[in-house]
This record gives sequence, structure tokens and C-alpha cells, in this order.
Amino acid sequence: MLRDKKTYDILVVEDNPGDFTILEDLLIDRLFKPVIDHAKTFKAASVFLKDLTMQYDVILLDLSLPDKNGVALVQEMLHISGNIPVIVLTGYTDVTFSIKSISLGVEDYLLKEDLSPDLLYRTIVYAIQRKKSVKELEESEKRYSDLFQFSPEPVMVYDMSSLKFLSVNKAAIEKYGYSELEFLNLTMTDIIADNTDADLITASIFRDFKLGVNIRHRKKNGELFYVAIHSSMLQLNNQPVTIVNASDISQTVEYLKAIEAYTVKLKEIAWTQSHIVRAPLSRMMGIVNVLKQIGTSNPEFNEWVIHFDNSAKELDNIILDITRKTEAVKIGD
Amino acid sequence: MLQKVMVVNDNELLLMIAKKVIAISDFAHETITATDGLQALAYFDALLEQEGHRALGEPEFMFLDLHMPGMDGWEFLEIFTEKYQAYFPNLKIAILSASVDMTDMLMLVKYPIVVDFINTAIDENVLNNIKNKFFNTVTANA
Repeated sequence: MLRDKKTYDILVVEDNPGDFTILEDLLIDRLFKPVIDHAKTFKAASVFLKDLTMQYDVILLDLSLPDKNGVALVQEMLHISGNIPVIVLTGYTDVTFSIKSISLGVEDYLLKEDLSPDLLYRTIVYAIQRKKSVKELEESEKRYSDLFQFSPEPVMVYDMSSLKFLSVNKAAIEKYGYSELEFLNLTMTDIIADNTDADLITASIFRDFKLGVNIRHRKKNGELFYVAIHSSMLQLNNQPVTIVNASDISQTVEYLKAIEAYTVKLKEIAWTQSHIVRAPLSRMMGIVNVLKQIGTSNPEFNEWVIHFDNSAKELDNIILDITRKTEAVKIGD
Repeated sequence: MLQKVMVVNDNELLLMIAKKVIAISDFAHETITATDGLQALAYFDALLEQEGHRALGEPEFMFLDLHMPGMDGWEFLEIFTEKYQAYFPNLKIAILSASVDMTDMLMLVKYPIVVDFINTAIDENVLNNIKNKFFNTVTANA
């Protein structure tokens, strides 16, 4: 007979010694060196489960124990078993309740009269696998929920036809200043400052669109800020919804504006100054031309040299002035 | 050689230079100057007041600055083309300015009287070019 090589840690909660022996035999039949702990009462079982050095793979639970039975036993066992799958063991007389225990949260039930090594083995393996899958699914859901909730950027989900908010994350609540409840009574248009045309907003969100710099959102306190919007559509409870990530880019926008203004000022300086520079410069060129033609022996020569010198000084002052004005222009003025 | 040219510019030194270069380049016999558009118009008014002003001699060419305190070059062009040009049909104007940009150039297109832009220093080459382009017969005779 093939035996599972994996070592299983199993907690058997069973007060009847005969039933326990049968279970033990059936387990050993298919499992390679299982670690089997035996609790005869609920109290004993809870002591085993409190021992954190033991990580049980499965709990086999008899439905009638001396200190607890029925619904109370199942509920309290599930309460202390955590992620360990619980399989209920019962007799024919308790079939109805066994089925009910599934809805309470146990993984499976086995009728003692039907037990066989194969059935017991399969039930255990399936129970462990099922519990593991459910746990993974729950973790994955939590991971996505965390991604939404703990995203540093405001994220909002809204209904595509009514534009009403359906869900907002913590960052959105902090950024906009609305409580979650207040948010759920607003529509997407309520937070858009510059354009309240709902059609345009919807249309803009349908495309992967880059309004970015032009769109501002309004906080509860009236404060406006520029946003870069990233959105996508998805189905939530069979309703088309839009999930929006709104990044505050006010700082970037303000900085860009400051740089643009700065550039304009520098251009103005460059333009006006270059024209002012050219006037004395073209006079100097004209004087040189005169000097070349009249020659050094001409009595006017010295007079023209003085004119040249004055023009040169004028030019120097103009250049100094440009440097001063350019240095005085600061980003953000 | 031309008989008479006029230079309109607010900078006295530039007027001196222009006069000198015009003289030593044999561009014109006489150079008259004005420091703004109003002064220039006054000269043409004086000509018109005289009977037979042509005999007295009108300037054939003008070097006009655009940026001047008082009446600037633009205003002068506007008034001259509207009220004076009919009486002085032979006058041609070159804009002599250190700062002529594209916008200025485009605006100047609407004045056919403006035949040239001198965006640099006035020198013999500039004057010879003007002579060749606009006063061929004069150059040939010179």
C-alpha cells in the first residue's frame, strides 16, 4: 500500500478509546509516520491548540465530548482552531447535524460507520488543500484591498452612469477632507473645480487621457489642487465603474509655471537689451569706418577716437546693466 | 552722386557719423539731419511752403530710425505716406536701426516707400549698395 511521505500533524479529539484506536490504525495505514495527538475533551484539545510549537495540519473532531457537544462544540472549536481545517466525526444518528456543521464552517464530515483508510486519507488531504486555497484567496483579496486602502495616492471608485462614488481609500479621505460617508453622497463632478460638465468628464475618462495639467480638484475646504488622472473601467457587482487615481501635481504645475514666467522674463531682457547693445555697437563700427577712410593724419582723427571711446564706455555700461537685471530675476518672481 | 539725403535719428553721434560717411563715400553732396519725425516733417513743410520747391531741392533718399523719442519712425511713415508722399514722389526711405526684428519687417511691408533695411553700421559698402540698387544712372555718371 502506498503511503503519503509527507508527515502530518493531526489532532484527534475523541473521548471513546475504541474509536480513537480505529482512527489511529486507519491513519497509519495511509500516512507515513503521522504525529497524532489525542485529546479526550474539548478542554484538552484547547490546551493542545494553545501550544504554538505544534502546527496541526488537521483536526478530527468527535461531535459529543464529555465537556461539550453539538453547535457549541463546533463553534468554539472553530474559534480556537484558526486556519486548521476541522473534520467532524459522527454516527448515522447525527447525519443531519453533521451536514449543518458544514455551514458553521467545518471542512467536512465523516460517518464513523463508513470509515476506510482511503476515505479518511482523501478527506484529510482535500480538507487541507481546500482550506489552503480559501486562505490564499482571502489573502489575495486582502492584498488587493490593502493596495487600494494603503495606496499613498487618492483612489476613488465611482459608478459610470450616476458618477456617484462607491468607494474611496484612506488617502482620498485625507486629501479631500471628506469623510467616507460624505464621499459616498458625492459624485465625481462635485470634486472637479474647473469644469463641471459631466459629459466631458466621462468622455475624458473613457480615453486614456492627459488633461493632467488643466484639471483641478476641489477639497472640502474649497482649496484647489492640480491633478493628474489615471483611470480605468472595471465591473463591480455587474455595474460598470471607473477607478480613478488622482495624483496631486500642484507643486509640479506651480514650478512649471514659475519656470515659464522666468523664461519669458529672460527672453524679454535678452530682446530689449540686445537691441540697446546694438545701437552703440553699430556707432562704433561706423566710427571705425570713418577712421579708416580719413587716416591718422587727418585733424579730425583724435576727435573720432574720443567718440569711439565714449561709445565703448556706453556699451560697457549697458552690458553691466544687463548682467544686473538678469541676476535680479528669480524663479517664482 | 545724389544731391541731397536726409538722416533722421535721435542720436547726435550717429548723425555725425552718417554725415561723415556720406561725405567721404561721395554718396551725396548734402546731408541734412533731423532728430525725430516731427523735425523731418517740418523740413518738408518748409519745402512745400515755397513756390517751386523742386528747384530748392528735395532729399532723394532718407535714412530713418524707428525708435525715437518724440515722433518715432512709425508715426512719421504713417503721416508722410498719407499727406506728403504725393508731393515728393521720388523719395525713397531706408530704415537705419540697430533693432529691426521680424515683426517690424512685416509691418514695414505695407509702406512701399521703404526700400531697404540697414540693420548694421552705416558704411561705404552700404551706401554703394543703395546707389547701385536704386540710383543706377547716378552711379554710372559718378
